[in-house]
Amino acid sequence: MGRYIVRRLLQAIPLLLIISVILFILANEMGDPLASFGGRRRIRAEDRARLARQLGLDRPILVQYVVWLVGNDWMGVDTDGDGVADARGARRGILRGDFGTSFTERRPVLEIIRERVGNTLLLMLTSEIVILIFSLAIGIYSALRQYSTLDYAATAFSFIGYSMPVFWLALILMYIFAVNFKRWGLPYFPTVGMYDLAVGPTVSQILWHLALPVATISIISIAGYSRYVRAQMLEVINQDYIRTAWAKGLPRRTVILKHALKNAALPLVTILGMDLPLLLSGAVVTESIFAWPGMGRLFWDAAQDTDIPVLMGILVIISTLVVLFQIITDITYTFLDPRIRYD
Amino acid sequence: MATTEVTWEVFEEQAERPPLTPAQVAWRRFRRHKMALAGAGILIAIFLYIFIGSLVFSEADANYNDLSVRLSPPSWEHPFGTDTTGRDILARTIYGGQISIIVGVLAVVVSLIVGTLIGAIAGYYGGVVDSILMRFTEAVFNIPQLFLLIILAKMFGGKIPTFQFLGRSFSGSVIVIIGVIGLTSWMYLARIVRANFLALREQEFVTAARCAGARNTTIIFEHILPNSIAPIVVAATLDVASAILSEAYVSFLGLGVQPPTATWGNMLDQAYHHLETEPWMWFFPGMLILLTVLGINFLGDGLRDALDPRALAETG
Amino acid sequence: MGESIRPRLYGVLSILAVIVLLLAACAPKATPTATEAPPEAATEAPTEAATEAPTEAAAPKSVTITFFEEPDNLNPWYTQMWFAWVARDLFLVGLWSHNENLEMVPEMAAEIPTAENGGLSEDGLTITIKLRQDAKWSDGEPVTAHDFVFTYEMIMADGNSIQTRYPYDTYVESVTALDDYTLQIKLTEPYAAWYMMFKDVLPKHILEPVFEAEGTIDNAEWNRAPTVGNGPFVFKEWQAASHIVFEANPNYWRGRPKLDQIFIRIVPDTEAQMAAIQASDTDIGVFLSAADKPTIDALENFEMVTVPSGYIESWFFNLDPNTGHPALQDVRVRQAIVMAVDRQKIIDELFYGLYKIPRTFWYDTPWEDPSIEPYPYDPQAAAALLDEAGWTDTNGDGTRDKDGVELVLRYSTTSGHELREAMQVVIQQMLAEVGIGTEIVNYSYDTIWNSYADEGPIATGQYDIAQWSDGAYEFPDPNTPYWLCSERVSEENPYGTNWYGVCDPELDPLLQEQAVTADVEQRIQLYYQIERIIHEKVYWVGLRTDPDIWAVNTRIQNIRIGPVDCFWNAFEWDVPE
Repeated sequence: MGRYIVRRLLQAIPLLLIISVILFILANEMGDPLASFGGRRRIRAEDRARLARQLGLDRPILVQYVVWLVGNDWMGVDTDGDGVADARGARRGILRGDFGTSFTERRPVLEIIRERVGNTLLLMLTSEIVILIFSLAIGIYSALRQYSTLDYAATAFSFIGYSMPVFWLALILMYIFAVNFKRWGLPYFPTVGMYDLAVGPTVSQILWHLALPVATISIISIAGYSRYVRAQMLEVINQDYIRTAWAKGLPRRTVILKHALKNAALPLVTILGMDLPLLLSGAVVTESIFAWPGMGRLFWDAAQDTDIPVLMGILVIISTLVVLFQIITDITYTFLDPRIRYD
Repeated sequence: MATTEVTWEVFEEQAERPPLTPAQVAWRRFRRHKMALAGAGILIAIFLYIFIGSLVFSEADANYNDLSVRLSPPSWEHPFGTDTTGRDILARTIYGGQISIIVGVLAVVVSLIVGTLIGAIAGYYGGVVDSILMRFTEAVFNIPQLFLLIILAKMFGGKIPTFQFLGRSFSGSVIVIIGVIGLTSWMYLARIVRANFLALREQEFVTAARCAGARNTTIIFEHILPNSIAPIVVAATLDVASAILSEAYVSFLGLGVQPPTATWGNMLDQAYHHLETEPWMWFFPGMLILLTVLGINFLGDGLRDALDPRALAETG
Repeated sequence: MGESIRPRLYGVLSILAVIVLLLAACAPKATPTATEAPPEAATEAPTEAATEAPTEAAAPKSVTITFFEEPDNLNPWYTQMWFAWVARDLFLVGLWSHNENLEMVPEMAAEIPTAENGGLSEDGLTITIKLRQDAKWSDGEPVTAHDFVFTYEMIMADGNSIQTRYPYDTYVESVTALDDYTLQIKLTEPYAAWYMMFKDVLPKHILEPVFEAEGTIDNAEWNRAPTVGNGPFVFKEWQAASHIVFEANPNYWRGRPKLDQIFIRIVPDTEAQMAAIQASDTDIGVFLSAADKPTIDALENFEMVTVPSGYIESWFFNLDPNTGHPALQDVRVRQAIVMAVDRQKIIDELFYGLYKIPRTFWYDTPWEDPSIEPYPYDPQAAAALLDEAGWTDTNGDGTRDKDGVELVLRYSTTSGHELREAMQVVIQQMLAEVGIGTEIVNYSYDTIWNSYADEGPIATGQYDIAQWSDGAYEFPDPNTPYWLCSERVSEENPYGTNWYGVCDPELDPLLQEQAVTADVEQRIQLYYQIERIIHEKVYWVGLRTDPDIWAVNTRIQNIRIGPVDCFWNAFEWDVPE
C-alpha cells in the first residue's frame, strides 16, 4: 500500500510538469501582456522595452518557464537596460512557493488568489449543497415513480435547466427577481455584489446576495446529478437485498431512506468530492454577472489582460488539487474496499 | 453514468417473444423511452425549420439590415421582430441555426477523431504508449474546459480568412470555433474508447484476427472499433449539445463567430443589452438553443438506455 | 457491492467536505484597512469642523459609484487604467486639475504658471511653480516641493517598473525644489504639453522609506492602500473585486468635503451595471452605451451625462503598398469609401443622435479648424469617383474590380462590441451598394493592438480598414505621433505607432514642428494645416464622436464631470439629508 501511494505521488510529478509546460506555452501564446499597459492608448516603444526587461518578458520562453519554475535568484538580471547583468533576480520560483507577481496589480499572485478562494468556496459549496439536496429529491422521486407524470415533469424541468446557456439564465433571474420584483413592490433580491456596502458583511446580507448566483449554478447542474441519482436508485431498488427488505414488510420510509437512499447517495457524494477542486475555478460567467468576487472572475480578468502569473497561479493550483484529489479518492477506495488491489 | 431502466415488465415482455437482434432490442427500448422520442421529434422539427427556412429566405435576407425598422417587435412582416440593425430575426435564426448546428456537429467530429485515435492507440498498444497518451489526456482533462476554450479562442482568433464552401461564404472564425471546441472536449471520449479497447483487445475475436495475420490498423478500425461504437455514439450525441452551448459561451465572452454571420450564440449575445426592452431578440434564438440542446439531451439519454451493453446482455 | 464499506467512505468524504468548509471560513479576508487611521477631525480641524462635529448623529452622506473594471493599482504611475485614474481624483491631486471646460484649476500650485507671472521662461525651457503653503497630506504632513522632486525620482528610478516615463524621460532635464514651496522644472526642449506633468504627486514621507529598504516601490503597500493622500477624500478600505471605500479628508486644503463617504463598487458587467442603476443600487455609472438611452430616459431619478473624452470612433486605412489593398493607394477610392457611408443615419438611428460627425481628429478642441467640412453622404459621387479611378464591375459579380483584383477590403475592429459590430454590418451594406466588398475580420481587444513584434494584426498590416476609438495621445494636448514617418512600423522599428503606412512629405514636418511649438496661436495654425492635409488625403476618418456616457443620480448636487479629471470637483458634491 505504501509503495502504491509513493508510486502514485511520483507519477503525479511528471504529470504536473507536463500540465505546467502546456499551460505556460498556451498562456504566453494567448496575447501580449504588455498590450494592456497602455490603457486606452498604445504603449510607447521605450516603455515597452523597459517593462519587458523589468518583468522578464524579454527572455526566451524556455528561460521564462525556468524562472517561473525555479526562480532567478541564482542568475543575473539586467535592471538598467545596458545589456549587462548587474543584479541578482528576486524571484524564487513556484517550486519554492513564489507564484510571482501579477503584471497588472503588482502584488503577489498568492495574495490575490487568497482573497478570492474563500468567496468562491462559499458560493460553490452552498451551490453544491443545494444541488445535492435537489438532485437527491428529484432523482429518488423519479426512480421510485418511474415514468410517472411527475417523473417526466421533474426530469424535463431539470433538463431544461441543463440546456440553458448559463449567462442567459443568470440575467433572466436577475431581471425577474431583482429588477422587476423591486418595481412591482415585491420583496426582491439584490442585483450584484456580496453584501450591501452600507450594512456590511453580515451573515444575512451574504445569504441574501448568495441567492441568485446559487440558484443559477444549481439550476444548470441539478439535471446531471439527479439523472445520476435516478440511475443509481433504479439499480439499487432492483437489488436482492432491497427486494428482501420489501418482502420482509419493512416500512416504505425505512426501505427507501435507510437502505436504498444510502446506497444511491454514496456514489453521488464521491462525484461531488471529485468535483471539489474544480469548484475553485468557480463559475466564470456567473461570478462576472453577479459581481461575485471569486476565482472565476479573477481568471477571466487575468485572461483579458494576459496576466500570465495570475493565470498560471490559478491553473496550477487547480490542476494540482485535481490530481491530488484523484489520488486521495483512489487510495480511499483501496482502504475501504478490500476487493480493490492496486499493487 | 450509465443508466439502466430495466424493469420487470420489460423482462416479462421480452420473455414471451422470440429472441430479438440487438438492434431490434435497442429500437424497442428507445421507443419505450418517451422523452427520447420527444427529443427526436424536436430535433426533426428544428432540422425542418432550418432546412425549409433556407429555401424561403436567402442568406442575403438574413444579413440585410434596415435601420429604419430596427428593434421592431414581431409583426406580419417580421414574425420574430428585428434586431439592432433591423435585420429579420426569423431569417437569422434559420441561418444562425445552420451555423450553430454545423459548429456543434463538426466540433464533435473533431473531438471524435482526436479522442478515438488517442483512446484507440492507447488502449490497443498499452504499455509506454498508453501511459504517455493517458498522462497527456489526464493533463488536458485536469484543466477546466472553459479555461482552455478562452485561451485557444484568443490564440487562434482572426487567423483564418473567410472561405467559400457549398456556395456560401463562411467566416474563418467558424473554423476556429469548431477547432477550439473540438480540441477542448475530446478527453472524455478518449477515456471511454481506451477503456473499451483495453477490455476488447484480450477477447477471442481479436486474438483470432491477430492469428489470421491482420494488421494492427485493420484490427483497430475494423474489429475493435465497431464493437465499441455504442458508448461512443452516446457520448458524441451528448457532446453535440454541450458544443452548441459552448458556442454560445464563446460568443458571450466576445470570442465567437464574426459578423455578419449569424449563430444562435452571437444572436443571444447581441440581445444582451435588450433583455428587458426587446425580449423578442433573445426569446427566439434562446428558445431554439434550448430546444435543440434539450432535444439532443433527451435523445442521448434515450440512446444511452437503448444501447447500454449491460442492458443488452440481460435482455438479448 | 460491498455494502458495509460505504458508510465509511461517506464518512471520509464528509470529513473532507467539512475540512474544506472550515478552510473556507478561516481564509483570511484580506482587508487592506487603514493601518494608520487619519487623525480624528476634532484633534486638528479648524473651528468650522469642530462646530460640525456634534451633529454626527445624522446618517453619513454617501454616494455609490459603479465601475465595471476594477482599478489595478491606486498609484497613478502604476496604471494606465481609466478607472484607476478616475478613482485617483478622489484621494490624490497634483499641481492642478482640468475642469469640465478643460480649464486648469490650481490644487497644490498656488497659481498657474504663465509668462506674465514669471512661471514660464521666455525660451519655454524653465517652468517655476509656486506651491500653496497650506496644503497637507491627510496625516497632517505638509505637501512640499520635495514631494514632487521625489515623485520625479521615482519615475526615473530603474528599480520601479512604472507604466510609462513619458514625458519625463523625453523632455525633462531636471526637477528641483528651489525651496520648500517652489518647484522648478527644466526641459531639454520646448514641450507644448508641459501642463500635463505632475498632475499627481506621491507622498515622500511614506514611500521614501520603502524605496530605501527595497530599491523599488513596486510592492509598496501604499499602492494598494493609499491611506495617506491629499485629495478631498482619503482611502479607507479595498475589498478585492468588491468595493473601495473613501472617506472625507478633514485635512483637504479646501476644507472637509460635503460628502462623508464614497463607495466604488466593482460591477464587472455592463448589463449588471444597468440593472444596478435601475434598482438605484448605485448613484453613478459610466461607459453606458447609446443603446441604454431609452432605459435611462425612462428612469425619473437618473440622467444621462455625455462628457467629451477626446476619443473618436475612427477609421484608419492601410496605405502600405505591400500589405494593404492596392485600391487604397488612390485617394479617390478613399474619398469614395467615406462618401458611401451615411454617418448621420448611423448616428441618428443606431445611437439615438447622441453623437456627432467629427470633422477632425481633434474634434471640439481649440486645435480644430472649424472650416473643415466632413465629406457628405453621396453614393452617386462615390460611384463616380470609383469609376474614375478605374474600379468597375467588369465580371458582373456585384463587386468592383480592376486588373483582375476584386475590391474587397478587410475590415477589422474589436470583437464582441455589440454596437460597433452593428455599425460594421450597416457600413458593410452601405459599401456594398456602391460595389465595395468588405470582409469583416475582428480581433479581441487585447490582441488587436499587439505590436509588430507580437504579430499584432494591425501592426503587421493584416487589414485594409481598421476601426476603433482613438484620440490625441496626451489629451487634452493635441500631440499625436500616428502619422510621423519616423514612427512607421517595420522589422527595424517593431514598436512604431504608425501602422497606417502614411508618410507624407508635406505632413511630416508640420507634425514634428507642432510638438515643439510652445506658442499656442502658432501651434493652432500648424494644426489647421495638419488637419487640412489629413482631411483631403483621407488618412483618417471620424465615424462619430465617442464621449463617455455617464448615468448620474439626480440627487447628487453640484456634480460637474470633467473630460480629463472626471471627479475634479468631488469636494463640492452633496446629497440631501
